[in-house]
Amino acid sequence: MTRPPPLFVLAAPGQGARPLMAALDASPGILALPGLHLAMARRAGDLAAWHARTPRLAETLLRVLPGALDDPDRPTGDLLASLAERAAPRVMAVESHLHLAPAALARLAQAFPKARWLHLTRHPAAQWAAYAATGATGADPGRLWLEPQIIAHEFLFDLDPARRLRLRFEDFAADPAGVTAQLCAWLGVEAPGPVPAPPAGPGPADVPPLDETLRLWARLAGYEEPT
Amino acid sequence: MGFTCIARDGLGDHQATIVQAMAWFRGRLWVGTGGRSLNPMGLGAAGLARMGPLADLLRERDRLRGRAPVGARIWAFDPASGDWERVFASPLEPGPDGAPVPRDRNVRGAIVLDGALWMGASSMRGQVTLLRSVDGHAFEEVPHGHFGLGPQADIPSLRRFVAAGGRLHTAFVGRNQGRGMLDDNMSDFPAVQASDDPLNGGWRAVGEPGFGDPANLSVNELAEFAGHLYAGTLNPRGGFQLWKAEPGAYRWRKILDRGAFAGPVASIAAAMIPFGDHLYVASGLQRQGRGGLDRLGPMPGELLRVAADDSWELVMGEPRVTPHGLKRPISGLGAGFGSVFNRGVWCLAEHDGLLYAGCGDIRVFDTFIPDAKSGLSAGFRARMAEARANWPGGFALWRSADGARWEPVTTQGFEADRHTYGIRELAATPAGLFVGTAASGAGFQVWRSGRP
Repeated sequence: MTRPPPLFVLAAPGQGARPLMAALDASPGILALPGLHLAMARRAGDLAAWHARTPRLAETLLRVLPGALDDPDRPTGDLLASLAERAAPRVMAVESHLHLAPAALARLAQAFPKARWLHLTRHPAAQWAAYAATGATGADPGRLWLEPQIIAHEFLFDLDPARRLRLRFEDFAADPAGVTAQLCAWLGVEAPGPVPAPPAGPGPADVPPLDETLRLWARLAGYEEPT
Repeated sequence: MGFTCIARDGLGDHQATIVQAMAWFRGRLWVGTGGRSLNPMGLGAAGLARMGPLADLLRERDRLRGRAPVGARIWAFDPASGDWERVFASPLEPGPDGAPVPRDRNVRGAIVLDGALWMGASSMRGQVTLLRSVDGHAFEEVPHGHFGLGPQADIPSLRRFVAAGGRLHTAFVGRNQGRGMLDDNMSDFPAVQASDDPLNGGWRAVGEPGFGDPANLSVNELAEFAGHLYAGTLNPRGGFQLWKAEPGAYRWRKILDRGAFAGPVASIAAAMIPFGDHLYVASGLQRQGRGGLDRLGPMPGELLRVAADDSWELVMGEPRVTPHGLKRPISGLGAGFGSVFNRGVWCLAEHDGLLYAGCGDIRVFDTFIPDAKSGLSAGFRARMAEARANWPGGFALWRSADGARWEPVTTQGFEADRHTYGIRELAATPAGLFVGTAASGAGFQVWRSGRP
């Protein structure tokens, strides 16, 4: 069976990846996987060690791919390839904010040279509001947005433009069905029928003023007046 | 397709760095050139005053390097004899220290209208001068009545002439008063101007300033297509806009917004031309020196085309989701015709049934090399610096028979030359396709298609 190239969604926490993945999963041509963070580790053994702290992820992985962690030297890219085989002929869509690290991205690119990449962004203030609404603490508002943005920018810089797409969450939220249909056209799969609407996001949070560098990067992402 | 150099070293003045207007008239090629502005770094008097003692150092640096404003010139090339004739040079006037300086900086804009050649001479300190030649030798200055804006209006330059609906149209670019070094594309009067009797003035604005959007800082490009006048703006905040109206009625409608949804990286409509069934629109990031988005690395330009029914396609550029559907480049080429260092298409011309796109290269300047403050990794920054160090010089020239499939004429210029970095003007003529260049630290060149 022909295995279509996977889709990797790059999004930092609070940037709206969950509703986007739900919309993609509504297409009969796409299988959106739960965030298993597989490429954050090089080998299955490293992944298992990390999963030891998050048993729920290990259970999910073993449910969809029994025996996945039996061979500690098995590359995590190979695990993803097995999942892509199972998803075929659907496109496997994978999202993990932990993949927004140079080493993880390199692993994914090496394992899937023809993969498609979707970089999802959201206004820094809106992202921070969404992040804060989860009750999470300890992150710096600027770094939460900026570091993943820069990592994604550098990674996508040299990539074949036909295999990369940038998307503002705000554009998706404004027209979830229309944007999902465009994404499906890009992937060459059938568009879904009804698409679940993304939940209304939290209101603006008390975010410190954005510094000059963050404002510049926000402009690059297409935000006219970051505040 | 070969090209032969017919002018180099600024025709004897290496400080004449740029060709900014070309036209075919009475069997000769007319070339408007220019160079430095009056003050160091292109600053105005107020900008220099703000710099304090640093301004004196910059003046001294320019003096030691022999840098001086050369002024606007117009040259005529006879393809039969191969001779050049200088037919206009900016008059001199007393400068800030009393020494004579050229009145006009360069020539931007040219059109043949009613049997005469019209060109616009940009002013160093005052208002643009309209030049007109009937016999192909002498130029007269045509009074424009300050375009109806009064003698104090800061309207030093214009970008393009377009005749449509029995009227001559243009739009202002540049600022002299309070001038900063990157003011060349901005205007205090970002509106389309029209006159049905340009010999006697009669100029008036035919639209709101900025089409009602204060973020539109100039109307940088004008073109006629399918019975309509099209205007492309400079909008650093959100990306360029494209507007259209019927000449005469001037009920402007916005066709494209937000840099065709590429955002601020497509801040300016840099070139426009009708070809076949479409209007082709080139966009890019207006250079911002060491500030703005330039600091985050190279930002290649794009090319799109608009049909008479306002539908549009991305010709080359970054695929994207838009309110008008998914846009993928019909050429299969990413932004910059596939080169991240191609800052964009600066000029377009149709010649022998082919559409030509002349481009500029960002690597001549170091402002695209990110600094540590950008947040980009040391490895990325080093790669950019290395790309500039290894740049052989030159520019790209692409062409297409149908606007969809493109082939490079060159991606490295016509000869090894680290000074010449862009094609600023293209002129399609019965004597061939002419290419006028921009250089940094060297004089302009003009190339002609065909072998000697």
